[in-house]
Amino acid sequence: MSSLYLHIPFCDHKCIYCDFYSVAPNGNKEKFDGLVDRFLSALRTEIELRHADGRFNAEYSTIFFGGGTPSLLPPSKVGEILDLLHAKFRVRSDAEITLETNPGTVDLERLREFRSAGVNRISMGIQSFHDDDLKFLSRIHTAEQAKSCVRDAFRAGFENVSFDLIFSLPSQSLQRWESNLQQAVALEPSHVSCYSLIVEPNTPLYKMVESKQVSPLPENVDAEMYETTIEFLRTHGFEQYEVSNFARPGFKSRHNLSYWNHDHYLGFGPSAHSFWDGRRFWNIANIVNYSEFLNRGQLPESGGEDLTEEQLVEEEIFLGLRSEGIDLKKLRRLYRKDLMASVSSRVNEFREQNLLVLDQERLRLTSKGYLLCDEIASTLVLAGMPGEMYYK
Amino acid sequence: MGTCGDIDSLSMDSNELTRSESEMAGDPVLDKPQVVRRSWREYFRTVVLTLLVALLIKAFVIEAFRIPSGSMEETLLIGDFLLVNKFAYWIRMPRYVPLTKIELSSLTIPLFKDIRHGDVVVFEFPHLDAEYARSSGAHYIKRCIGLPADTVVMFGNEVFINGNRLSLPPHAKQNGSVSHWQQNQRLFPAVSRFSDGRYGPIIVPKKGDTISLDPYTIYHWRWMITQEGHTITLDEEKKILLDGQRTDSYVIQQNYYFVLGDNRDNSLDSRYWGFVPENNIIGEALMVYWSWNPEISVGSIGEKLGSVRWDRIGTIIK
Repeated sequence: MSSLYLHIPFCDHKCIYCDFYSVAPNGNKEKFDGLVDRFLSALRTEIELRHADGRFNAEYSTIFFGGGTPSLLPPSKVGEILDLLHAKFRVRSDAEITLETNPGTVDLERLREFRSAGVNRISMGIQSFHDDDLKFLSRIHTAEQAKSCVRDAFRAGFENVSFDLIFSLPSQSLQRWESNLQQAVALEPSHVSCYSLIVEPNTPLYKMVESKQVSPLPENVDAEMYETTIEFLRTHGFEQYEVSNFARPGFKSRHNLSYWNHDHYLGFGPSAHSFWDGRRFWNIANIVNYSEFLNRGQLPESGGEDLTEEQLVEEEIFLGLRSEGIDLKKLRRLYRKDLMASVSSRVNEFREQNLLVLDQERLRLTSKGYLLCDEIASTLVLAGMPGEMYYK
Repeated sequence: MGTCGDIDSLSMDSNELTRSESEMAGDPVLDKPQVVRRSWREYFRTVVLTLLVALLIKAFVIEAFRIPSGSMEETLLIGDFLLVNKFAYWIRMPRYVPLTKIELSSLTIPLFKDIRHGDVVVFEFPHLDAEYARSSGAHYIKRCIGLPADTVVMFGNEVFINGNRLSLPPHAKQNGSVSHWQQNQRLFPAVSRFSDGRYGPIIVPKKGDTISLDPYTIYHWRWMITQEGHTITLDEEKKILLDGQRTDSYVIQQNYYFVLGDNRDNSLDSRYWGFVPENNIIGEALMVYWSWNPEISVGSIGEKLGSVRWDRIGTIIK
C-alpha cells in the first residue's frame, strides 16, 4: 500500500502553536494569489517529474492534502491536481482522499464542490468547542462555526469526517476538556485525533511560555486528560489505533496507517517528506525556492538519507508501538530480527505490568501502555541493539 | 385495459400486503348476440386476439394498480387507481409467462428516457432478510430520490443529493422538524449509526463500482451481493470469502435506486430496507384513472359512488 501526500503551504494566518511550513497573505491579497498560482504550477511540474522518474510506479491507496490550510484552495484546483495524479499514477478507484479543512474557510457549496472533485474524507481542524480556547490558539473560527461546518460536511455527503482536537491548553480544566469530547461525539465524527499541545520552538507560543505569559499544564494533568480521552472515546465506540488517533469501526485513516506501517509514501510541495525503498528524502521548506527549482525543471529536494537496517528496525519498533503493534513476523522476514529472542526479558516485564500485549504475532501497547509509549519504545530499541551502533 | 393488481406503498401503520384477485377490465366476452351471424371460429378468434392484445399491453405497456396505503400521501391517496407506464424506461420481457408462474429469462432494451430524480416508480419489492420476507415480490410505489452513484443525506427535514438540496414534492406530507437524533436500529444499514434526524451519507450503488470489503462493511453490502447471486462469508481468520475465494473488493453488477414515500414521516422505504435493484423496477406511475373511498363496501353502491373523488380522475402523477 503506497500513499501520496501534498503539502499545501497556505494559511489565512499562522496560529500561535503551529510549526508546520506555511505562508499567510499578511494583508497583501494580490501578492498572495500570485504566489498560490506559482505554487500550483510548480506542483504540477513536480508531479510530472516524479511520474517521469518511473521508480514510483506503484498502486496508491490514499491521497492526503495537508498543510497549511488546503481548504483555502479553490475546489476546482484541487480537482485539477487530483485529475493529474490519477492520470500520472495508479490510484485505486476506492482510494481514501483526505482534505485538511479549517472551519471558517468552507461553506456547504465549497464542501459540495470538494466532494465532487473527488475528496472523500475531511479532516477538520476544530481544536476546541470553547471560544476562549480558540481565541487563545488564535484560530480564525468560533465554536459555532465549527459545528455548522461539521453539519455542512454532512449535508455535502461526507461520510468520513475526522476532528482534530487539542488538549492540555494552559489553564484548561479537565471538565472543559471533557466537555469538548462530549460536544465532539455528539456531532458523530467517524474519526477523532486528540493531540496534547506541544510548545514547539520558533512559535509565538514558545515565546509566550519563555516570557512566562502562559505556563503549560503540569505533566500529571496532561496525563490525566489523556487517560480521560482514551476512556471516554472507547466507551463511545471509538477504537484507539494509535497514540492520538481514534476511529469508529471501518474508519481508521488508511493514510495514517500507511505511515505507521512503514509503507511507501511520496510527498509533494514545500517541506514534504517521502519514504521509498528505505530512503527518506524531503523538499525545500520555502515556497519561492521550491517554485524556482521546478520552473527550471529540477526537483526541489533539499536532502535525503538512506536508512541503515538498524535504523529501519528502530523505526519499525517506534512506529509499530505508536499504532497497531510491532509486526514480529515482518521484522523476522525483512530484517532477520527476532525481537522476542533479543529483548524477551524487557518485553515480559512490560507484559507483566499490563503495558504490552502479544496478540497474533504483534506486540501491542495497552491503553495504559500508550501513556508510556516513548519510554517503552526507547527501552526496547536500546535493549535490542548492540552498543556500538550508536557510535556510528 | 389490463389486470388491476394491488400495489402497496408500504406505510408504517398499514404494513399489511394484500393482493386482491385479478379481474379483467375491458372484458372481451360479448353479451348480446350480433345481428350478423358469425361462425364460432370467428368468435373464438376475436376473443383470443383481444385477450392476447390485452395481455401484451399489460406485459409491456401499461398496467393498472390500486393504492392501499398512505405512504405516498398526498400525491397518491388510499383508494386511487393508477396506470403505470412500463414502457417509460425500457422494453423488458415480463418476468413470467402471462397468467402463469413460469419464469422467463430477463431481457431489457433501454429506451431514451432514464429514471430521474423525483420520478414516481412502481417496483417489485426486493428479496431481503427475515423482517421483510413477507413483502418479497409484492408491488410497491415510491418516489425515486437517489440515482446510481448519488450520495443521499437527510438532515432534519431536508434531503440532500450530492450536497444539493432536493425540495419536497408539491403534495408531499411532512410534519414539523424531525428531531430524533438517537440512533435508530431499524434504519438501513443495520450497522450504521443513522438516526431519523440524521440519515446518511449513503452512496447508491452503481453498476461497475468497486467497493472495498472489510469485516465491518460486508454487513452493509451483504444483501446486495447475495441478491446478485453470490455468497459472502467470513472465514475463521475473519477474512472475507466471496463464493469461497478470499477477496477485499467487489464489483457491483447492477444499478440501484434510493426511494422515499412522499408521506415522509409515515413510510417504510429505502431508509428502512435499502436500495431497489434496477431489475425490480416495473415502470413509472402515469395517472390516476379512478379514485374512491376504499373503506366503503361495494355493497352500499350508492354511498360508494358518492365517494368517488372526481377531481382526482385524470390527475397526472408528478
